[in-house]
Amino acid sequence: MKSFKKVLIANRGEIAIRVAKTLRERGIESVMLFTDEEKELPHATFGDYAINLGSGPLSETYLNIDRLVKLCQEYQVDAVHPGYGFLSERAPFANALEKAGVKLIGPPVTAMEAMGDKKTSKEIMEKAGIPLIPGYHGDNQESGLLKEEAKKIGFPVLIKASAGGGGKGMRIVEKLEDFGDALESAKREAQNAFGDDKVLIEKFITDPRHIEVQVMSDSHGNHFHFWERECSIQRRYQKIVEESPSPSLDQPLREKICDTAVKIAKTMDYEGAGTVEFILDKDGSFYFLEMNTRLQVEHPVTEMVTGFDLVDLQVRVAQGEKLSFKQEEIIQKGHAIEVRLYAENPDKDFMPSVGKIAYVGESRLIGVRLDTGYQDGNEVTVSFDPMLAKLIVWSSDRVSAISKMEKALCDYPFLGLTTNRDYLSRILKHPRFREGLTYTHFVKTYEEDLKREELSQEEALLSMVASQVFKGKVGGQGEVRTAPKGPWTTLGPWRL
Amino acid sequence: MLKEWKFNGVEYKFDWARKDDNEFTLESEGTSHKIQVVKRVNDHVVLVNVNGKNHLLMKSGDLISIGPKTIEALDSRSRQKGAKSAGEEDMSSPMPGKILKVLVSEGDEVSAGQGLLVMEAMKMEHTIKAAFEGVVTKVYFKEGDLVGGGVDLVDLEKKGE
Repeated sequence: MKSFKKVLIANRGEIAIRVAKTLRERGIESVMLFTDEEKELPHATFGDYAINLGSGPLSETYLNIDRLVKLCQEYQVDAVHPGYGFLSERAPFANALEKAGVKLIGPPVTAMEAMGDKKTSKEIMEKAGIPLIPGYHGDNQESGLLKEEAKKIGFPVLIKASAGGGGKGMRIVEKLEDFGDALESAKREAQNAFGDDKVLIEKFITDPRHIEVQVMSDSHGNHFHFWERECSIQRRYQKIVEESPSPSLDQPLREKICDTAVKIAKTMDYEGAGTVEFILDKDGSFYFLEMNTRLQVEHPVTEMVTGFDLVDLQVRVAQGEKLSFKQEEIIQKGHAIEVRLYAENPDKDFMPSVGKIAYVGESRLIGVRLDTGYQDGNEVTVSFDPMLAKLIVWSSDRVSAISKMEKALCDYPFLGLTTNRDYLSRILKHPRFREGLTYTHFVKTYEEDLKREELSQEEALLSMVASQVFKGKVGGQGEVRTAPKGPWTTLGPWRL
Repeated sequence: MLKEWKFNGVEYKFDWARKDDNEFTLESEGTSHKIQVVKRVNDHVVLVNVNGKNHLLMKSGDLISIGPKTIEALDSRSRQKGAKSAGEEDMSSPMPGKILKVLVSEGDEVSAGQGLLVMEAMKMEHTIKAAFEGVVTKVYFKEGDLVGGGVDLVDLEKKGE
């Protein structure tokens, strides 16, 4: 077993900072990257060593494999943490590091490659007896056979163009009598759109939920799950509210899903952190969707309910350490929620917004976690992902966690640009969300309810006050507070 | 003084009266509200007491934060459509700095584009000019004062209103 002394973080923003915090706790030095454009962002100065990648397209900076490997050698790092996105699931990067003798804090290349390809991963799952969405993907396109297959799957079914995308050649069929007509028109549309009328048939899930399970495996054949996260609330296929535990699972079903995820990890001979994503139907059936072979954006909710630091576990596993705890010792305690704050306008089709952050905010609650890559004065540009921050709260139960999140959102205005903060609070306030009726079509179904409301009387009054009281001098009682905070300026009448 | 503001696009009229630097009265729809500035936390955060209850208010440029809501706040009187650039049209400080010169007094009639204040920020001088023709109703600072960014420096009322 080899203890890491220095680790390069091949990422930026909030995730680079989050990883660096754990490295710092463990006494491991961090090497962090930034670009010319990011000099003012906190991640540029957060690590023990900072490398300026200059300017240019991502392919020349964060995604330049040769360059990153050379930097690893130059800085003599023991390992690389890839974060999420960027090079975190790129086999060529993993191979290049291995060749250079640098450990990737991530899964074996074989697992990364197998799971990176949707077709391969589904074949592996089928062999291992993992439930997949029932469907017909065959070459025989004879209409009588397709109808029989649809009957076998059970209605409603979804007809999809094999070459498809963008909803073209797609039909939802509610009952057997309608199948013939729907198939004909789907095939016609597919032929026109893609020049190929081949279709596939899948079970259509009316009210799906997105349930995922956090797994962690060491290099000694031990596989664990860290329970589930529900991430059904999504906009533009991106998660915006995530929670653990899921409000939709009873304990037997929860254990069944989590055990299935562990079985997948075993099948893959997996190592490191991974997430197995499932689609959950109303009747409790669940189907494998995909496996992400990296740390997830929403990992903090799992950390909050289990008390484990997942980055710490990743590092330990990568060092070759054996995880000595037992599955029974991983307990899901209380309830955690994460929301993703985006620089965007939900009332204008979630259009990304830009601007200068005048004031991030400050929590007035106990134990609120803000994972962000920004600080006061930073410019938000279109160059990078519009996610400003992840706000995470924990409380003893779901109701109090929702209440806490509503208050936490008040404390972090990210003033200066348009954000989805108010929109998130509208979701949290929605009666169906409170009842736990969170399906992946939530944002679409309740589109009307989630529109901007008029100001209440109190909000209007406070707006009037706010429009006036910022005139005039800064600092209480007519004084400008410019001196930095410290004992000499805050002690008041006390004498030392 | 009668104010007309738009919050999230909705027009509100109210009367704002100053008792001293920290105490004000706001009258809206026949009701009078007692306002006290308890603490100016920083450029963007003020703790106010409204009718006996404390509220934390935040503001930057045209955006106000009330609870979880970020509200667009526009002065219907002094702002024409599209006039947004700080320091040019809205007579606020473009960035934190120091007031070098005050060129006008309250009650002065000014023409559009006339210099009102000179401030220094980032080692450069900026002249804050009148956005339109009018009467100076309030000058918030004197020479040598330090100001934050985005702070209103002068109130100007349009002529004939």
